[in-house]
Order: sequence, then structure tokens, then C-alpha cells
Amino acid sequence: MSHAIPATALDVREMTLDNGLRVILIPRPGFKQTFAMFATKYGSIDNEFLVDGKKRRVPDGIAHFLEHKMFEDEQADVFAQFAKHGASVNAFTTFDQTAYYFSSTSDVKENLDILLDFVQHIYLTDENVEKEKGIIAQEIRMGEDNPDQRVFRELLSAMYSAHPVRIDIAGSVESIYQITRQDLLDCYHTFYHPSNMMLVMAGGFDAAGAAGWIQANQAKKSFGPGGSIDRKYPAEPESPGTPRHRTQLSVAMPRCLIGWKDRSGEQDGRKLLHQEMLTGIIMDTLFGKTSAFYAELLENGLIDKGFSWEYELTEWYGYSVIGGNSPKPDELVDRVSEYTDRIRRGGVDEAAFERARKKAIGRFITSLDHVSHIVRSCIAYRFRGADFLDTVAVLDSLRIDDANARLLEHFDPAQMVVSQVVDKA
Amino acid sequence: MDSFETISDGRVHVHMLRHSNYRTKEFSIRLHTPIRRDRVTATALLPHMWMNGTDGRPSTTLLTIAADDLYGTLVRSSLGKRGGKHILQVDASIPDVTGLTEESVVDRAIDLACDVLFDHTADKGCFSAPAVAQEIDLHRRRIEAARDDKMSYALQRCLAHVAENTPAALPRLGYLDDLPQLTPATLFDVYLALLETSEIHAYLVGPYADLTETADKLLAKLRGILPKSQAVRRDSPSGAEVLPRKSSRSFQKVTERQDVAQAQLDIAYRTGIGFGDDRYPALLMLNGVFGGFTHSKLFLNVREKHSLAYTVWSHLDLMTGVLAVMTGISPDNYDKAVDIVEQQLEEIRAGKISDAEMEFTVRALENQYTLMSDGPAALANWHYTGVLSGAARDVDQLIQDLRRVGKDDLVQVAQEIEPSTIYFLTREEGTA
Repeated sequence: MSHAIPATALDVREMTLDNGLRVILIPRPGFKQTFAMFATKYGSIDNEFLVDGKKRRVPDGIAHFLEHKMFEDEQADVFAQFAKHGASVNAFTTFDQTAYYFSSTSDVKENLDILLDFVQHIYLTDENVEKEKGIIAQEIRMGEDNPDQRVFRELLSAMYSAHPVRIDIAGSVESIYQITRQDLLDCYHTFYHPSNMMLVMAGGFDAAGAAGWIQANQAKKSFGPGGSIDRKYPAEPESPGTPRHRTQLSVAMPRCLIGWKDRSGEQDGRKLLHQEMLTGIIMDTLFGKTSAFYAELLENGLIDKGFSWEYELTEWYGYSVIGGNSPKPDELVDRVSEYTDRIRRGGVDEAAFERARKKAIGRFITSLDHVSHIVRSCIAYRFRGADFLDTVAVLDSLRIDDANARLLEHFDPAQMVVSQVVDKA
Repeated sequence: MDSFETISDGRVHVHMLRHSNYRTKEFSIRLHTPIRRDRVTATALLPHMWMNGTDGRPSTTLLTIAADDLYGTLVRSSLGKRGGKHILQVDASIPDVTGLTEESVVDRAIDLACDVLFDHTADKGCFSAPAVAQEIDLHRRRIEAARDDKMSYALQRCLAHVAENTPAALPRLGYLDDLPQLTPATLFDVYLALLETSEIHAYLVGPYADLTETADKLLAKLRGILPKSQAVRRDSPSGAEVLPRKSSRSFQKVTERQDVAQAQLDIAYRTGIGFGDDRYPALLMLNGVFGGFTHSKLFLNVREKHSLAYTVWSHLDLMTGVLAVMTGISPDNYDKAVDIVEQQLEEIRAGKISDAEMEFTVRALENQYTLMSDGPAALANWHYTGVLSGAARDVDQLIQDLRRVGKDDLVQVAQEIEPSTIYFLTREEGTA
């Protein structure tokens, strides 16, 4: 079960338990910290699914709501249990996963047991469900005042006309007030079966010991058979819903994001990793800090140094985003359109492409120093069928011809979407 | 914990620590200077300017290309503020590519980072008129954009009121009103003065093959670059920046209005205790029990029991000794939130602290401090905090000290803490 990868020299041990739980252990001798994450392939987009053959549509924001409620336990406060063993604990919900994690420098066995036990036990009352609504409402309000969050959320809402990636991960104040105890229970029983989950650890622990503790913990519990989960997503058109969207908010500086929508997602893990790396290298070449275009935008006062790019690809959808603060958001959009048209005709600069590849390899090596990063990446890619340790091999395999083909395919003007946040006044 | 080895020559210090578990070699040069009203804005611009080009590589593009060619070595400059000091910093994170290439990435990366800081002459590179004009415009937007992050904006405003009339009250980024007066010449003068008067601390942490040799070379290089003749103003001694208590029994109340959905409520206290103080471990424990963790009184009461907020923490500024509670609430809940926060501190003053609260806090702090030894940057920061506050603290010793703190010590510190400022950033009047 153990294999070492020379280029990255990480020791990775992997196993699947009888109940279907996938466990990946990545010991890093010499590290004081152990970082462990227990995650389910269940996020905000999974709001429609079959339960006992019947279609169930649950209120938006429920995966995130459930994440909050998992910390409630009838016996002891979960935070306190970890605190007793010197661990810090937290959780997050994304579009396609919910993850619970702890970081500790001691008592790894105890903390591991607490992590597994609290996520595999649900305690809900009508009262504790109601109580959470006030807290989550404040979390949502905090996001509403944040222009960076708003401009991104509105970009996805404009880009997707049907797929639930268009909805905010936390839902809305209105939707979370509709959530009931029964909704939460249905979601929990559907998506928190071990066969839909993964436990990944990295850091200064003993791998053989940890494997034994996990097996012993799981052997004491029974979950019944884990069926395949039938998620329902509405059909999403290939083209963007709204090409241009503008939000008014009280801001000192306008925000402007420009995105391109892929016509589909990618279900094959290796292809997904390849497309993600390739698109990332192209974007770094086109919009990164060494590009002439970045310097030009900066010189013309259209962006500031926070200007950045990102690319996201899952089995259901893919999109790229560039942007940030811009005092002249409309002019920025015009320049970007002209530029991408020009580049599509001329192709990617080969020297810049090589440099971006070299940089990506170096950054990957650096990222291995952060055990939390190793764990997060490992899980995010595994849920999408890919292995993040293939990164260097995939980066090595990228060719300029592929880049030029991808450039034409992805930066299609018909797939472009603009989201701006401008001042109300 | 392993400790740094230091070599010094006058005002230049190189601190080194081998850390073989890592794949990244961290290099950092830091200069600190007291913040003064007449040059706060010019100083704040400098680190941003440096990345706009050196004499040898006169644009950001050329600088970044050089860094990317070193396997994406991340070279960056930054501006920090600790109490009444500005910290100007250039860092390089160098991937360990041993085995991938024969290139001497380390030496070239250190040279590049040093160039970012030192390779400038008047009117050239980043001090050329067009580069300066562009950076001034960016800085104006930087100051404006800082208002959009409501939580940190509120904390900064609150701390400025607490530290009124001291250098610590001056904003990290400086003032919009100063920008029109800045010229390439005035900025270059401030830059030269900084190089002539600052103490310089460089850090090398990570899997360096020849650490001592690298450090020796670096020290010689820095000595060769720096102007020698000027006398250096020594840093203010330990604790000098800690804001004294004023025997005040009530808060000054400040309300600011903006168009916001969520209100920010910050409640600040003066403790009179700084990083070097004997009571510092007790203050750390107090902050932990009060609002430092998810098991803290603030988290359990403001958030879990009364559902008033998603975010509620207390924050300790180790230079000024200010303890500040930060929370985001619905604008109507002001009175309720203030009462509950005050009640929690009252509980501590009255000695209502459970054994579990003490134990959890010790363990959580212990975890935090032990974690530092996994991070080269964190280790360098810790060491540098000692430099800035004039009181070096050994992490292992601090952990021992925390274990010895008793409830009585917390009660005593809590009783001496003084109310200072309640800052409230809320919606415009008449809006719902």
C-alpha cells in the first residue's frame, strides 16, 4: 500500500476500509504538527438528490448549515473536546465538499478519535437548528458587505443560468430560515456515509500507529450498506446566462472580474489535472506579473497589484477568472477583450510558457512544506478523481501546441462573462 | 526548540537557523524605523516601489522574470506596522531544487532580493518620475480600498483612538492628503535616510547546504552595500511603547457610519503589559480565556449562547499592550453585545474561571507555539518580535511560564485592565 514518488519524495500510504472509507496517510518525519482532514464529497451544489427513489430538493445553503450543526453534541462541546487535547479544529464548505479538520502537536490518537466520532454522530433538535440561523445570518451579512466576495459570487450567478454553482455556498438569509431538522437529517444520512468520505493526514505522526487507530475506531461502528448517491443537476446551457452583470454596493474602489466558461466539466481525473495545469500555465503567461499585458494595465491605471487569475475545473463545470480592483472597470473589460482576441490569433509566447512551467514546478515543491496544503490538495483532487502528486509529471508533459489549442478553445469571446461591483453613490 | 545563531557587524545582523525538514529556503531582510507623522506616507510607499524595478532590472516585469527563472522563487516586499514602528521587508522563498538542476539558485535568489532593497539610485528604476507617479496613484487606491475590509478597518480605527497622540495611532499606509506632496526626490531622501539609520536584520532559515558560509557572505555583502559613516539611532528599549494605563473607569465611545449591512463593534482595553513584561504570560492566558479560542467566554456567550455574531475574538497587541474585542453584529444589538462582552471580563475579574478553561487555554497556546517550529517564517517572526520589543523570549520557556500561570494571576491582570474605547461602525441613520 506504500509507494514513494522520487520527484516529490513524499511517502504516501493509502487504504480503503471495509465500510468504504478511503484513508490516505502522508507522514512527514520531523514535523511537530499533524494535520488531519475528514471530508465528504458533498457541497452546496448538491441540493437535489434521490432519497428512497424519491426526488428531494432541499433549501440552499444546507451543506454549510449542516457543517455548523455537526459541532453540536449532546454530551460535550466538540470544541472543548479538542481543546482538552491541545488541538485546534475547524471546518469549511465549498461547492463540492464539506471538510472538518484539526491541527495538533500532541495527542494525535485522541484527536483523531474525536474527529471521527463527532462527524459520524449527529445531534439535532428543533431548538438547536433554530439557534444556528442567527449565527449563519450574520455570516451571510458579513459576505454581503465584502465587495470581493460579492463580485465573485455575482460572476458565477451570471455565468451559470441553471447549475447550483450559481448560488452562494451559504445560501441566503431567506433560504436558511426554511431549513428544518428533517432536511438536515436527510442530507446527513445521504452524504455522510463512509463510502462517500475520505480521511487524509499529513505531518509528524507514526503512520502504522495512525492506520491502526483509524481501523479500530471504524470497526466499532456500523453504517449499513453505502449505496451510490444519485445527485440531480439541472441541464446547464453551454453559453453563459448573462454576459455582463453590475452590482451596486458602498465601495471605495470598484471591483471587476472577467471570466470564461468552459462548455463542460471533465470527469476523467488525469485529463482534469492536465487541463487544469495547462490552463493555469496559459493564464500565468497571459495575465501573470511577468506579462507585458499586466505591466500595460498597471501603467494605464486600470488595475492594481492585487490583479490575479484563477482556474477551477470539476466534473460538472469549469471556469477561469481574472480581475480585482479597477478604477475604470469598463475600460479594463475592453482591453482584456482586445488582448485575448489578439493572443488567440498569435498564440502563446514559448519562452514565457517555459518560464511559467518552471515556476509552477518550484511552487509545487514549496507547497509541500505546508502539511495543511498537502492534505487539502490531496482531498480536493481525489474527490475529482485526480492525484495531486502527479502535478510535476503533468507539468512536464505540457506542450506548446496543446497550449495554443486550449487558448482558442477556452478564451472564446462567446464564453466571456463580466461582473462588476461599483459604488452606489 | 533550536535557536538562531547570529553574526553581527555594527548595525547589520544575520540570523541563521538550519531546518532540514523543509523544501523551501527562506531568506528575509527587515528594516524597522519609528513612524513619524512627517514621513509616514513616504515610508509606506517604499516597499511597494522597490518591486517596480532596480537599476539592473528597471521594471517589475524584468524583476519578476528573473525570479520566475529561479524556479519560481517568490521574491516580495512588504510593509508592516508593529506599535509605533514601520517594518520594511524583502523576502525570498527559494524552492529546494537539489536533484532537479545544477543551477546555483540560492546565491542568485539572495542577490536578487538584496537588489530589490538596495540597487536603486535617484531618478532611475523605481525612483524614475513615471514609476513614482504610478505608485502614488496605486497607493491612493490602496488607502481607499483598505476601507472596504470592514473588520480590519474597524480594528485599525479603534486602535488609533486607543493610542491617540502616539506614533502607534498613525495608519500603516499613511495619509491620502500627503500623496500630492511626494516627489521622486523626497521619496529618495526618505529611502536614503532609512538605509543610513536603520538596524538591519537578515534571516536565513531552511535546508541551506552551507548555512554558515552563506551567512558570512551575506554579512560581508550587506556591509559593503550600506553607507558606513552614519550613527545609528538605537531602538527604544523594551516596553517603551506599551501604552500606560490612565486610571480611567469608563470608555470613550466612537461611532462611525457607513453604508453597511453588518455593524462592527470593537471594544478596547489598555493592559499596560507588553511582550517583555513578567505578567505577559498571564495576559496571554487571560486573552485566551476571554476571547482567544472557540472555548473562550466570548465565543461561547456572544456567539453560541446568544447567537449575536459569527465572528467574535479578542486580540492582543503585544507592542502596545492593547486588548481589543472584535465582533460583527446586527446594528440593533449594540447594547446587548457590549453588556455581554463586559460581563465576560467581569467574570474573570471575579475569579469565575473554570479548571477546564485554564487547561484548554494552556494547551491551545502550547499548540500554537509548538507549531511555530514547523514554519521558517514563523520562527523568524518570533525572533524579530524579540528584537523589536527589546525582550527576547525563548518559546520553550514561554510554554513553561504559561503552565505556571494560576487563576489568581489572571484575576489580578483582569482587575488592572482599563476600559479605553468602544468603537462602533454602523449603518447610516434612518436606514433599515
